[in-house]
Amino acid sequence: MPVSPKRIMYYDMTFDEPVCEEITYTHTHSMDLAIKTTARLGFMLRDLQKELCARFVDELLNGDTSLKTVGNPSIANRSKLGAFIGEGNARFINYSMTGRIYLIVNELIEEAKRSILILGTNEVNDTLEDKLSRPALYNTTSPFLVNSLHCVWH
Amino acid sequence: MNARMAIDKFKEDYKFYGFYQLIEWRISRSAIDSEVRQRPRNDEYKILINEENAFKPNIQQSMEENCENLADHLFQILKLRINHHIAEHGAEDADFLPDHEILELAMQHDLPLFLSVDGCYDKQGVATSTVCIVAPDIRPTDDPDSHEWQNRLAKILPIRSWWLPKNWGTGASEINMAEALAFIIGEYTIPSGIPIIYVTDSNNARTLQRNVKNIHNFTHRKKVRQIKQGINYSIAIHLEFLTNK
Repeated sequence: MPVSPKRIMYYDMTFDEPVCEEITYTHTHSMDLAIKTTARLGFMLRDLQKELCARFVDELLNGDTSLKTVGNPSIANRSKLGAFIGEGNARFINYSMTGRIYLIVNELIEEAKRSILILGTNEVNDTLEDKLSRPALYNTTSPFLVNSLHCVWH
Repeated sequence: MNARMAIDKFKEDYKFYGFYQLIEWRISRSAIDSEVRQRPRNDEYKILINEENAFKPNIQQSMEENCENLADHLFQILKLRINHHIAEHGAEDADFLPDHEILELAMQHDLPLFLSVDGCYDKQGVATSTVCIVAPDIRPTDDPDSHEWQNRLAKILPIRSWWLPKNWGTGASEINMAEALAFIIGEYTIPSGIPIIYVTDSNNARTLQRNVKNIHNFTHRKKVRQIKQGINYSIAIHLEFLTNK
């Protein structure tokens, strides 16, 4: 989906003519707001530049049994979940593209890539797959050791 | 465990949505002049996309790159080649028409190519897309001004058919998806620059095809909220990509 450009005009002394114009595509605040708003309600914005990372996070999200979307019939106690109309479940943000778990997984994949950088292209693809599929990488990096989510990996 | 599953699903998705197990039937030389009604037998179909030539994504690439590579891959397999003089089905099936003869027969009377596209449910209830190139039966003995050919059955030259996966994304596959996917298979089949007349009974698929062909005439809001969400977002984007390529 195309992102609309953002034009910034700079003025000096008067507002008659801008001294320069800058066109950027960085919408930090609106994107951040979009992610937070949608993620709380269970919609996941995906970084399609990193499809593997997005899919990996999806698997972790699917395995997180305590996550329930707003309106889920199995929600026994709304206050326990922290999910209420208008805000949703804030834990979903962890799995969204700027969320904590997403960032950790992204860095983990980058780390795996760095460690096999010296190989040729085809080999890198296979080796990366191999590396991500075995426990050695996770044992050495312990990405979730500091919180209770580390059990998701095993 | 989760990484393995993510990678496996990554590959499976591209394989299945890359028309895995798409089958093809072709008319034989001996049947071209026959007046017997065509009834393709099951054993005359051949699998065009199998385990060996199914698309394999690169897990390091972005979704856009993988999708573009998937489209190129499908063009290589499915596009009928104008200069292809070897029977596609191999030497043992030399009786079946090669690509260039199919195209010549389909357009021999300076007519556009007639592409019949359809979606249906098979006996097991699985949605199926089918594409046929049909040639009007115009004979050399026909008077130039006669319309006798309109009373004769058109010849089906090739048929390409694909069973949709049971589920598409988060929902079940349904017939409108099959209708629209038949257009997509048609786009992959016919070489660019050849005028085509689509024969379809699906108002939804026809409207989608016409809208994505003229997508720049719509506002962004209408594109996102109406046109592309009509049948299925991913199918609409795929069709848009092919029709504007």
